[in-house]
Amino acid sequence: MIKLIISALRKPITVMVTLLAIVFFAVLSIRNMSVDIFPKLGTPTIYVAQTYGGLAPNQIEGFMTSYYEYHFLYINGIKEVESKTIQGVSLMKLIFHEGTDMSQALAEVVAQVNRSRAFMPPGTVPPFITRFDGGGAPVGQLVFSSETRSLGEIQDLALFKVRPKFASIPGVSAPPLLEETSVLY
Amino acid sequence: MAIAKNNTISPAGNIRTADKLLIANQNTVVSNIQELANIPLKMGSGPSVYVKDVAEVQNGSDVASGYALINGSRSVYIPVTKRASASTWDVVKRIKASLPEMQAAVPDDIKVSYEFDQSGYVINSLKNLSFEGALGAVLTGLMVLLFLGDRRSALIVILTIPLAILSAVVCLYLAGQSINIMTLGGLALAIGILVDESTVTIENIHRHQEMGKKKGRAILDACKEIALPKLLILTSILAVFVPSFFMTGTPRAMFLPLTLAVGFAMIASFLLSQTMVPILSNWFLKDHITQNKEGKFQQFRNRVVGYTKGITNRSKWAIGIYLITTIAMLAVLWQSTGTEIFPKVNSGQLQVRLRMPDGTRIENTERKTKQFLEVVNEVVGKENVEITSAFVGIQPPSYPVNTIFLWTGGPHEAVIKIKLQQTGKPLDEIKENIRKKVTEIIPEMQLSFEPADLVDQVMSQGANTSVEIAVQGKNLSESRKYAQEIKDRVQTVSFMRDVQFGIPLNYPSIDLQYDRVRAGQLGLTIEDISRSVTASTSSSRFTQPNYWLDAGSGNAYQVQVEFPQYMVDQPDDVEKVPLKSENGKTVYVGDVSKWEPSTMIGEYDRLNQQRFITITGNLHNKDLGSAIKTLKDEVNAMGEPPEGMSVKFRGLAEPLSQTFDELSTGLLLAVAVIFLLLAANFQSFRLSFAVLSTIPAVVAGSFLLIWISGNTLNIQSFMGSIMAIGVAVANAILFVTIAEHYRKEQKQNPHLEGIKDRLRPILMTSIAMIAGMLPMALGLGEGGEQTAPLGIAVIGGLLFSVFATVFILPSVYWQVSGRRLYKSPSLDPDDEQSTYFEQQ
Repeated sequence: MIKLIISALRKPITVMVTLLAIVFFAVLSIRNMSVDIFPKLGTPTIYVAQTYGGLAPNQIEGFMTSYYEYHFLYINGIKEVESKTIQGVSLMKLIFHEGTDMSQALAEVVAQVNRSRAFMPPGTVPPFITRFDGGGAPVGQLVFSSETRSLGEIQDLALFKVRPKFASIPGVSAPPLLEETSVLY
Repeated sequence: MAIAKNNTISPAGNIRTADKLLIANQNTVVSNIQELANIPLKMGSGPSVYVKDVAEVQNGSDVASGYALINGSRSVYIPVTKRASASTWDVVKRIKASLPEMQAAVPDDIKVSYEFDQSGYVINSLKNLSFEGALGAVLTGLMVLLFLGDRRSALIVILTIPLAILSAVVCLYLAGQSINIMTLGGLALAIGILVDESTVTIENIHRHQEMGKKKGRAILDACKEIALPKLLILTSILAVFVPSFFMTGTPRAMFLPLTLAVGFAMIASFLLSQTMVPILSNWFLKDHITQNKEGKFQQFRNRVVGYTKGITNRSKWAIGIYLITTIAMLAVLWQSTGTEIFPKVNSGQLQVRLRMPDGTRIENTERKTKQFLEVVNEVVGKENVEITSAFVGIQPPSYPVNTIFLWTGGPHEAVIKIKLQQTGKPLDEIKENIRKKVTEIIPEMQLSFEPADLVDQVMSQGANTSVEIAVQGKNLSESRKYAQEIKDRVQTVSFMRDVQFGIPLNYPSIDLQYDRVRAGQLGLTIEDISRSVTASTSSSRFTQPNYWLDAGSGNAYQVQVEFPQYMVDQPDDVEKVPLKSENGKTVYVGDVSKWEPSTMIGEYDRLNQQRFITITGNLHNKDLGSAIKTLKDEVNAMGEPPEGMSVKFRGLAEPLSQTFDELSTGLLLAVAVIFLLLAANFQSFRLSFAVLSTIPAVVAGSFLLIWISGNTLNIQSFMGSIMAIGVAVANAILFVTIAEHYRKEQKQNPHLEGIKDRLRPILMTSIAMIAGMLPMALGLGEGGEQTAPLGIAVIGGLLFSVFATVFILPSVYWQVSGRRLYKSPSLDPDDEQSTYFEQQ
């Protein structure tokens, strides 16, 4: 400590240059640092969303959700499996302990989903599996409005023209539109 | 079936001609959807029946399952959600930058806009915080100037503020932290205390100059002499933050960045005071300094010391009264101050979930939603509503991923977001007015307000309401009965609002009972029947996938067969669905089945494979901590739950109790760390104890000011208290060090001499820190409510700490060790100070 004082007094220019360097790097850091309201937080979470059009809640719960849940409890690092089932949809939320290796967890989820599906009614479409941690949050809405076009047209354009541009923005989770979607019949 | 057989996907394949490889396109998939109409249903000779004879081919949408409304009219929107690791500001900036590109991708008469922008709030609160920090720095600088009374010295001290902060920023960047309210809060917190290091140095330089030394010599001697005490101050500030490294979960995530910010800034300021301060002092300071006339301060000091002397004369009484009052205060305040995880903010946004009676059709729910929006307009004034968006009904089955972002329990639900102009009216009041009005106008509608803004949503970690009571049991109908009892009870609690079951328990349904024997006699299997019925109740899409390729855009669409909805609009219509036609006789569903109306549970919630029922509710004018305590008492008062049933408080209750466990442990750990650190430094547990005696006052002071200002105990205020402890301990160290010095010189009243010497630096440190925290505590501007408790806690703690250090600490010191003769604990026989010393 004393040495530090003495060497500083002997080489004042070195100290000044160091200070200048700090200012310079601080400016660089501020430009590069990401800006947010909170630090990173939130428990690692994976969602599995299974749909089967028209299936009643008790059917989905029994034929699908319970198989999934049973298998998910085999995964390393799992803390809780929570599910909600209504007609046609089951949403399972897999909450992991902090510090779990999430790439491995995701791989295990996929493996267990594959196995569970073997027990399910024919025609079951593979579920949507996505990681979405607790700290993720809505930051706004992209609104499409038009006086002249029909809703169907807006939907079609939004889904196939705008969403691809929007989804490729880093850091954005790109869900589809909030509206019914175009299907032909 | 016929459509599927005549519109099928098959690989094109190739034909190898003499010199070319041709792709052999086949029109297995129709190119124009109208061609589907010409598919023959009845094959072979005889009169042909085509699809067009019995059906209509239409380019349309799937059966609507939900509607999006913007300002009350149907519309389309994409919810923009950031990933947990992404920065809000960056995401929004990029989206805004690509808006023109998105606009260019659609025709001009469609407008693409970005609404409910959360980044404005983020950036404003950060700007505010930076501004508060800067203002704090200016005030601190003024205080330093006032105390040092020398412009040049003050300039040196003030120069260390930005340099220390900038160094801390570099370190934070290297540590992978982002700019957020925690790191900025930490830096702002550090400003008040980091001037300490250089101020103490400068003061010591002055003292040495007053001794008549030449400038260069005075600086070197002063710096050498003060280096150790400075290191001690640094370590005691750092010590209080050590526990944050041992925390987990949300407290850790919030606390660690702040700790790092304070730590880096303090270390930087320590190094600066060892290097830059002596250099600049050499360059800037005058050779000779004029003796300060401190008449006024002298008088003040003598008065204070007089009081202290009076107190020390009755030291046992004083200490007793002090300990009893502070600990009693702590106990009372701990009980009466509300607790929550994070301070509430008013961001002018509302989110509310509407529930109509179970199974209400979306069209109906939509109408009621519009009615609700009118109620909102009426309550807050139409001009104050900036924009509203609503989603009515459930997510279409083709987009399961949407359920993650917006979950609705059935067609009877709608989720509405409302952005209000800032009117300064508290949101709680607006909510209450809306509730009242809605029960008058739309009595069948149930409301449940949800976290609306970014801060609330992140902090609630997916919980939609403040209170969630889960009833779990072996048997759902039993749990349901018990849950109903709890709900009835909870509803009577005065501060509870929006109490309801989160799930539809009485969803209307019809039960179709097929008679297998009759069906068999008619040559039908259940599979045949259900296939036909599915087309009438939903669509063929789920039983028979079929596709059409739009050559123009390259997108594929699904082809589905369904009965027009207007043809199946009552349960009787299902009976009329034909199943089979033979020899001119047609078998209908009604021939093989009967139906009866019934109800069923519309949503099943499970946790680790166990079904549970949730009772949700919000609070009105009540803090989370005491609300949950009251509710737990209520539930406990109902007696033991029935066999095999358990009641669990979920939602915010869990993170709250975890946060408080962590923080309280952190506080105790900080005290323990300081105790050990001091014992190591002073070579005495007694002195260490003396220093700790100021801590009850600090914590009591923090809590008192928080209570008076109407704030709650939360992550922010706790951190403020912990910081205040650090500063108070630093002050106490200043006193104890000098008192020990005098005791070793065997002065008569080392404690009084000590306080006389150290009154000035103690006051200076505390006042500078209080001045620095003042802007933050006032919490002006947007988002100020978030960090105000931090500032308030620091100020409260410091005010009390000054009092305790100046008046009580000397007494404690006197009692525990001051009146004893100094005896070195050294065991080394070569050490002159040691009692074991012997001449060799």
